[in-house]
Amino acid sequence: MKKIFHTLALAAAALGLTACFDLTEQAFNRIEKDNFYQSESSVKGAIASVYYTAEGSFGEYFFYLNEFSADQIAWRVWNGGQWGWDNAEKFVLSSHTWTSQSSIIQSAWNNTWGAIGETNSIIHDLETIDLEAIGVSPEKAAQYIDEMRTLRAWCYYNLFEVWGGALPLNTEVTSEVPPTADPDFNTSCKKIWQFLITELDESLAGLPKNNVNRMNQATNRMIKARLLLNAAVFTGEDHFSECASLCQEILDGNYGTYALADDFRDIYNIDNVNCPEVIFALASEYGKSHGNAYNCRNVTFFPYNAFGDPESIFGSNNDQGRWNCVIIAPSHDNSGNEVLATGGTDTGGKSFLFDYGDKLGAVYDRFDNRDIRKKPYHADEKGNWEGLFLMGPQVDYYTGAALPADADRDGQNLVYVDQVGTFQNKGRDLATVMSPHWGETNSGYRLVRYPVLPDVCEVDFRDIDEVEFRLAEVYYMLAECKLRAGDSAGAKELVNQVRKRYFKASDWTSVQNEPGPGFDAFDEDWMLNEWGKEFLCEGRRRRTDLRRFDKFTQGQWWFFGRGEGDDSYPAKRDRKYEWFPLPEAALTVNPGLVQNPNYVAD
Amino acid sequence: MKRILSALTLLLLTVGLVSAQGGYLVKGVVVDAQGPVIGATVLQQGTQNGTVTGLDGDYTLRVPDADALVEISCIGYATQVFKASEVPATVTLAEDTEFLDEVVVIGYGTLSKKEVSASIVQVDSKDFFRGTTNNPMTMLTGKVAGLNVVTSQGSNPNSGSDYQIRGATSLNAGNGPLVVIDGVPGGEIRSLSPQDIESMTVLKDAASASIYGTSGANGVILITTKKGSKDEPGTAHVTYDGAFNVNFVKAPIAVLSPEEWVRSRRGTDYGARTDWYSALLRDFSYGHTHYVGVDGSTAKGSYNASVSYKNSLGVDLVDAREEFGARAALEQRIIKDFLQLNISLNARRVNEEYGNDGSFGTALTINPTFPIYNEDGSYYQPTAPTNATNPVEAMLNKTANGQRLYATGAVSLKANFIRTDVHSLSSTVTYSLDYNDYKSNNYTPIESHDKYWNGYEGTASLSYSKNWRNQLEWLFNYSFHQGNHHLNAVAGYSYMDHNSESMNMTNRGFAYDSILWNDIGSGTARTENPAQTSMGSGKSLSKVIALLGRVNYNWNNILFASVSLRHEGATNFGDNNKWGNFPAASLAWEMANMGFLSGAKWIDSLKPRISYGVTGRRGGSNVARPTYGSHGQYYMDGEWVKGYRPAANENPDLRWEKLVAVNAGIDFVFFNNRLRGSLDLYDRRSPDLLYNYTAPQPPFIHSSILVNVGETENLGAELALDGDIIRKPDFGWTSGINASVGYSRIKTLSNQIYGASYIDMLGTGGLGQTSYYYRYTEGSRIGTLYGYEAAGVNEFGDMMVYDNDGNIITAASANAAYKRYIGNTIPKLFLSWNNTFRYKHFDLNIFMNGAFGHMIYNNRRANNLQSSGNANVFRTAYTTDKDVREYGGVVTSYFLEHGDFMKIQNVSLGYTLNPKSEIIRSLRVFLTATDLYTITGYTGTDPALLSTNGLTPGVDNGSGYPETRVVTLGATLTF
Repeated sequence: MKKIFHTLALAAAALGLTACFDLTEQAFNRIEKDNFYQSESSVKGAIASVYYTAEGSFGEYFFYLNEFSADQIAWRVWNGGQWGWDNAEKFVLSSHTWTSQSSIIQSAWNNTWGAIGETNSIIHDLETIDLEAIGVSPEKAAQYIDEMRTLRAWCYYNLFEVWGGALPLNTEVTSEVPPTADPDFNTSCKKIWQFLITELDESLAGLPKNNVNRMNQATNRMIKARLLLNAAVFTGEDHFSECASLCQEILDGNYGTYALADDFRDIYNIDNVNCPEVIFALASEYGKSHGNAYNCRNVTFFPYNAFGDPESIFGSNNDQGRWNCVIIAPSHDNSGNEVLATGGTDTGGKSFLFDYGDKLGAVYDRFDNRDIRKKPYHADEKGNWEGLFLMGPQVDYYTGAALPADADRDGQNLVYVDQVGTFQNKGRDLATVMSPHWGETNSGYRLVRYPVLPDVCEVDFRDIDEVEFRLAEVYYMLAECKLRAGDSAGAKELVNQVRKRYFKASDWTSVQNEPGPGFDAFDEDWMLNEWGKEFLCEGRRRRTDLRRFDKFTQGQWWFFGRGEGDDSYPAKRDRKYEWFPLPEAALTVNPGLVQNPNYVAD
Repeated sequence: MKRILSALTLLLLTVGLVSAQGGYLVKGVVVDAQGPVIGATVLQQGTQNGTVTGLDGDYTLRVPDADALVEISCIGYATQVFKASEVPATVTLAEDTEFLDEVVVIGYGTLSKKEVSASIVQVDSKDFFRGTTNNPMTMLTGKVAGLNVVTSQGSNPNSGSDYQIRGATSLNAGNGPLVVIDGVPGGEIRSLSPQDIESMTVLKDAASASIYGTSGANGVILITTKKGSKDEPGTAHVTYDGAFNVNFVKAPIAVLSPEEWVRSRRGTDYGARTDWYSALLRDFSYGHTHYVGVDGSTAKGSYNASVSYKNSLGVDLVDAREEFGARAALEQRIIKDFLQLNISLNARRVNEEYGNDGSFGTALTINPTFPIYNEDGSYYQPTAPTNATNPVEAMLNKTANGQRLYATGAVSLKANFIRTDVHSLSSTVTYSLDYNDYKSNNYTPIESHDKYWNGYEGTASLSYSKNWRNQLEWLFNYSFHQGNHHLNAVAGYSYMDHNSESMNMTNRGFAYDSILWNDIGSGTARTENPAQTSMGSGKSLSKVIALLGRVNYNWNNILFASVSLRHEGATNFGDNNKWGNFPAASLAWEMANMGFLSGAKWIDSLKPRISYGVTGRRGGSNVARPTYGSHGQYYMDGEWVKGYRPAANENPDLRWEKLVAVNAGIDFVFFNNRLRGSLDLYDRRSPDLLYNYTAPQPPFIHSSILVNVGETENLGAELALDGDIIRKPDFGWTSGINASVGYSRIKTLSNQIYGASYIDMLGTGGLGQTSYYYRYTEGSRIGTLYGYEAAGVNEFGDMMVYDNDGNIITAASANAAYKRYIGNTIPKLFLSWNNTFRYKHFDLNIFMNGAFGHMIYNNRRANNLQSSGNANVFRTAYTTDKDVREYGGVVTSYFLEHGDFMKIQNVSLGYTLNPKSEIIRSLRVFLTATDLYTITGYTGTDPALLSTNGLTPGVDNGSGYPETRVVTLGATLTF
């Protein structure tokens, strides 16, 4: 029968009826692959897409993985454990109860490999297409390739911090499915670490200096410095002295001209691309960029009346969704004589820092009272702003009238307390220490990392570029290397160079010699504490800090490690969670992947 | 059914008996091979003057004179006509095989019913439901065993129905059947007036559907519209058909009254006492339809034309739908009938007004102490919780509507090359264009909840889409009749392209509400805040080309066989797999015509049959080949650069999903056509399933890839029985039962390259991950819910579940590994029972349908516990579920309930009159009540309104949209 049909088809074709059997698919809203590269603009279009993919991934999923699992930021649920529960997607990060099926882990994986796949494809194309035909010089192509290799290395670095030696390596456009770099987790760690060092070194030359929104030399070197600083975590070998000398080279201006900002607000303001401290920032503009970056670092904290007309905390009428889900870790427990009408207790509870002696968490108490950042956030109509926190009673920007709360505190005022608990016993009885599952609308102070200005200033906070690499980190890396080499005075000096800007000159005389609230020496605890304050909510608490000081699973903060046997938060801390598990879906389709041995029993 | 009508005619006639006096008296007995025939009609032809035979087959009839024609007829027998003076004393009736000679429409042709060797059910217009319907497909509800029609929002005129033939077997390519209207596949059934439909034929097995290749795997519904009459040339008939219906809203699920809500301290008392649900209902919800048709015949052809109008108001304050339809069909024979030209045109204009279905859900849960209006008459705007809207405002304070146009035209030319008694050969070329477009308009005014929550001062959006299909078919038909051999063959070429284009735009910031969307560029957001605006467009084209052939063979009315093959290709297959073959074969054996059964006179037909066929399904377009698509932007060298990347993970091996099916069945007709039925057993396998598998990353850029992996199977049985229980002159009772059982199962999910140990469907709460109601693994049955086994609640009100060791732990902390299969949501048995009674001029139809042996997950109950924030909740939160405080946000067997139901779907009373008027030929009035009563133990949404189709049935997420009873009064008049 088939033959007959084909004969018929052939006969028809012979009659000039080929069109009657033409099944070539036409794409109208896509570009055929073979027609894609038309000019240098096409190359830039492909590169723009990679940054966009990376921005989405690093701005959201890696932020969750590295902050919610750590001691400073938490996703808290309210309204009797109902609102913001979101299938516990983020709660499992705070409580260290994630599994290989956890959504955020899956998303982080998918997005970043997407970005890596795109870089592989661009590098392959630039190496194989007829560059002359599209008017791109070989030198220019080489620069693009170096940019893509560095960007790819950054993607790998982010994956590496999360998954360590479980990762595969893939730098080719191929249909071969690559296995984990080495079946042995630790050997694999070393291989990947070395691969990244080599990639970064090889791709340095073609990069520009001081190109703040693109991969540049200083960014390349900072990624390498992070690899060196954390080498002990990754490979078991320490490279602190190598790290120190690389940091010194960056500070010496070998990879671009940078300087610490005198006014810390310059780092976060709308023109932060011009701030000398900023080395790399993801470009952001409402309606153009990905949005995950500004979503996560600001609006996750904000209540519904953050923006609005006529009432608004910020004097801004903005259509950005407000999440009301994220808080800074509370400084105080829920003890007290009585519960206040708006939530919290009359005494304000005991301090995790001062009363419990925690070296971690307790974000607000951690700041020195003389620190100019330790204030309620407020911006004037000229765009000057101060303070980092939404705390206490919230009022309308223009009238000063109290603003209402919602959900479990519907009909009452919005008054933020530095405690987290179900003070109305909704869904659970109030306990002294409660996990973020049992918050209320009023629970927890909020952070304003990037300023939100009143409408009259005509600045949309969503247009502020999101800083990923800045010079202060180089100071801190160098300081830590010195501290670890026994030079705590040198460490203190470097840290002080950065934090001097947070104090009035009159206060600085005494502050500069104090290790800060809750600390009595310039030791490792102090150093970790300083990292936390300087880079609060910048997405790197777990990755470069807690792991390196071995506090990620072994430290104690807030509810973490204080569980009373309730299975919704951990009573014990488990080293199993030092690394994240490979997502189950990835394991299913790639038999070459070797799960992190700690999760194999799952 | 034909019998019922004839019986009805007979009834009418008996009434006409009254006054015949004088004239010529006819007397006699009517018998058949077995003896006297009781209840045969003896009638003076062309009049109402008649009688029926008595217990001995005897009758007397007075006619005006000896030349009057007397007609003797009985259901199941051939009618005989005599001059009054020549009527034999004993009239012997011969059995009529008309029932088996009825013509059945099949793909690319017709067959007489006796020749059918596949699983095909045809429902003719006279058997359709009478009443108002949103979708003509609902006229088939319960009429065809194995066809499941679910209408979830029948009282919203703009909502449609979901239908499925046999079990769901596709994961990704859809499970809805192909609709073919007058030979044009893919048409929209709602473009037709129900009155224009002559018959609907359901091709259930793959043997009958495989002639439609990759479109046929889910079964095919062939719709045949009315053609011109075959009456004497020059005659014409006019039909008026109209109906008026009223919708009565059933009580919604009980929520706390405002007083109860306040007493239970659920939240802040804002002072008002509002019945939100009632506030959203129209005082009087009704609809009416009107249809005028004319059909006639000419010397060399025939014509049929109609216009129709329909207007329906939903039960909510806003939803409404208005339809204007027109249709014409023309047939003309040319050059001594050598050529035959057929032209048909159909057009329908629909205007839709949209309410807000979500408002009903809000109404059930919003704080009942909010007022609807402020004192100044403006809408009250709740300030909490976040994004709260006043459901009355959300329903009324906007303008949303849509306009649709359906237009279908077909022209065909048939040439009869050979027409002898033995051979005939003809060729037909048909071109058709099927076009539809849809424009929807939306405007939310400046002062609204949208401004309050988002700061948008007036939002206008417009969208427009159009779809059109060109089809060209060139077919050759050959038939051969000699002796015991009858052969029909068809072969041809088919081309179809499907085009679609769309655009949409949104703008905000308007100065005047009155302009609505009509000057969308005047919104300020376009220039001042472009991110709040949007603009989009798209275009696609896919082609399906096929060569097809089929041979039907009939040997001596004893053996019937059919063999067909379709060779088909489609643009959206990968380069390595453009063309496929779809063969089919079927065989039937009419045992009643065999010698060994010649003694069993009561067997009119006993026909076992078996069929085999391969059909397919197609996946999406533009996924097989490498293309680039736009993706985001990034700031480069001082400007925002549009990003591009590979649009999908390409798959050059992509091909169709297969369905290979075997069907064994038996058709039977017993006792002079008094008992009719069929039994079917089927086994359907779908290998090469299309599914968006997880792509290995690295190296793939995208996380999923459309590939052919896996297999499902679907086994089942169907029984249809129809019997004339009482066949008396004045009274008749016909009863019919359709029953079907079956299940679908996943056989495999993996191949060497792509593997999946499970597939999750229908997301819901979970712990740290989106959890799913369904997890299908190899071997699992479609419809098996996946969740935790509930173990009651603890002293704190936490939902408790079992872990794998039998320990009881809280649901909120349960590991996903403790989930198991907790129930199946696919009914084990679908049953419908149809009863028609006739008494003289009256007929009464009572139709019931039901489904049994399945579970429903009552998610509405789960979402309405005391702990549901400040929201209002179902009263069950304080009764049945009063001990549950925290259910953990996961699926547990706690909220599973039995879904069995039996429903009185339809009760219809009709009165038919054939007046002696020269003008009115017939008149029928009817009164129908739909959705009268549901018998069920299920406590949520009416289970008949919840889907039992597809892969994720039986989760009650009912929107709260009102359930209604509908009463329709209608009339049909023929002139």
